[in-house]
Amino acid sequence: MDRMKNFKAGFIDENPVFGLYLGICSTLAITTTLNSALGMGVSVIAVLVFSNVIISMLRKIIPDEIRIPVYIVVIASLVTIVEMLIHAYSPSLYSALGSFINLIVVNCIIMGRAEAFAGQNNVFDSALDGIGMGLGYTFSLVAMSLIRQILGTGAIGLSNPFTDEVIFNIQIIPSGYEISLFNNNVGAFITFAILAAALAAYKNKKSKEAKQ
Amino acid sequence: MGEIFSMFIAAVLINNIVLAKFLGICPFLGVSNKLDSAFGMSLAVIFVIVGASIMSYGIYYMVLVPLGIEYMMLITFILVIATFVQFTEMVIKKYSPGLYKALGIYLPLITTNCVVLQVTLDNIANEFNFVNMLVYSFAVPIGFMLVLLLFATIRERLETSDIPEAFKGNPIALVVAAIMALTFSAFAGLV
Amino acid sequence: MPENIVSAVIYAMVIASIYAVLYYLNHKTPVPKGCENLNVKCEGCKISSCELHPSRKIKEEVHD
Repeated sequence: MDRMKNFKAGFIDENPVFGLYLGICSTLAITTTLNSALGMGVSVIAVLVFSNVIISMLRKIIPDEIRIPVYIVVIASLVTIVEMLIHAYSPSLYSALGSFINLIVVNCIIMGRAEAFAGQNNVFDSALDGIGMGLGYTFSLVAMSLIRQILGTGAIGLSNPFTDEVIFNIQIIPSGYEISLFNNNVGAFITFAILAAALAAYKNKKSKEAKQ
Repeated sequence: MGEIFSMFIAAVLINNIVLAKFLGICPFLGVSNKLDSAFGMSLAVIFVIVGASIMSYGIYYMVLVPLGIEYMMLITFILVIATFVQFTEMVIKKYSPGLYKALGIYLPLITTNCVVLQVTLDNIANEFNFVNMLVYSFAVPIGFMLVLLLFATIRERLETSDIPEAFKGNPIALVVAAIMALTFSAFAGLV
Repeated sequence: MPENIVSAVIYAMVIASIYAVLYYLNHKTPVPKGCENLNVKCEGCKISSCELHPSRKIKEEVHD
């Protein structure tokens, strides 16, 4: 049951984006549409799981003093492969994400999990931890992009990244009434601040209830 | 000359790396509590970005392109940045304790910083020549320093204000960043 | 397979080992006297791979 608790912790209690403030740079820039948020989330899950597994397999061979260089090489190679795959199979996703695919290398979540978890635990636990953290990150990205897209463009839509065909596109707020502030950078900061404050309020309330 | 000046202004004010491009938020939120630590951090960032840009630009055009392995760009650049930071920190530790006190302690924070990697990648993506690369690599951290110093002064004043419990700490800092982004977006169209 | 995969792998190992050597040397170089207890008052993020993370200091004290 400890594994389930660790898995669930990545969603609300130790939410990597709004609770621990890791990986903020990509969150603010990517979340204009649901498509790019999902694309980025899936890429991060892929890199996180594979890097956790590889580092966990190598953990007994790496000398302790040079583990950070080894982690960096592993993560950078994985991100290069993922970038080439996205460029080949989904050009629309590649142009939407831009250079933020490359910045997954310095995404604090991946280095942090590699150091804190994969370096000490076995392969299966590390893979599960990678999936849990990655899903928590994707969940936060999707939450923020839903708010920004609904309020900013009025419509919510999803399209297949490989073939560019639209899966659904629903207009929720009639056009002309949307708040276009949420599409640009000011709205990104404000949405992030509100979601982070909501999480902090929830955690404060829970700790007050726990004290009584 | 005019082109260099407009590139400088564009990188500092219009496409500010923190407010317009969302990079470097982690040290922005972490180190901006006090004005002198903000100043030390920005000096360290300027130094690392200029040095690492020159090195990675050189390695790209002198090693990667002749060998035909441009796809190793990401691995190379992150390793070059990390090597440069380690080397600089070692030299500063040995030869200048004063400099270490001023900016050496911020150097480990800059290795996994989005800004450095993005500047080195931009130099290649925008196909700059050497002079443009130098100007861009110098202008972007100047923009970072400008925003960081402004932000630190605001945050020092915020500590004595009455903020709702949920917003204390980082959320209110992000709201301040939103207002600053709004202000800086007025520079669009300057050059 | 790209043509120059061998040179790419050799090149990657060269550059990674330069970094590893410099990282090790930096780790061994002591902090100058008088600067031992300087710490960045950074509570911004919980990047545990950052050298200034509090968990690292506890590990090093237990180690020595």
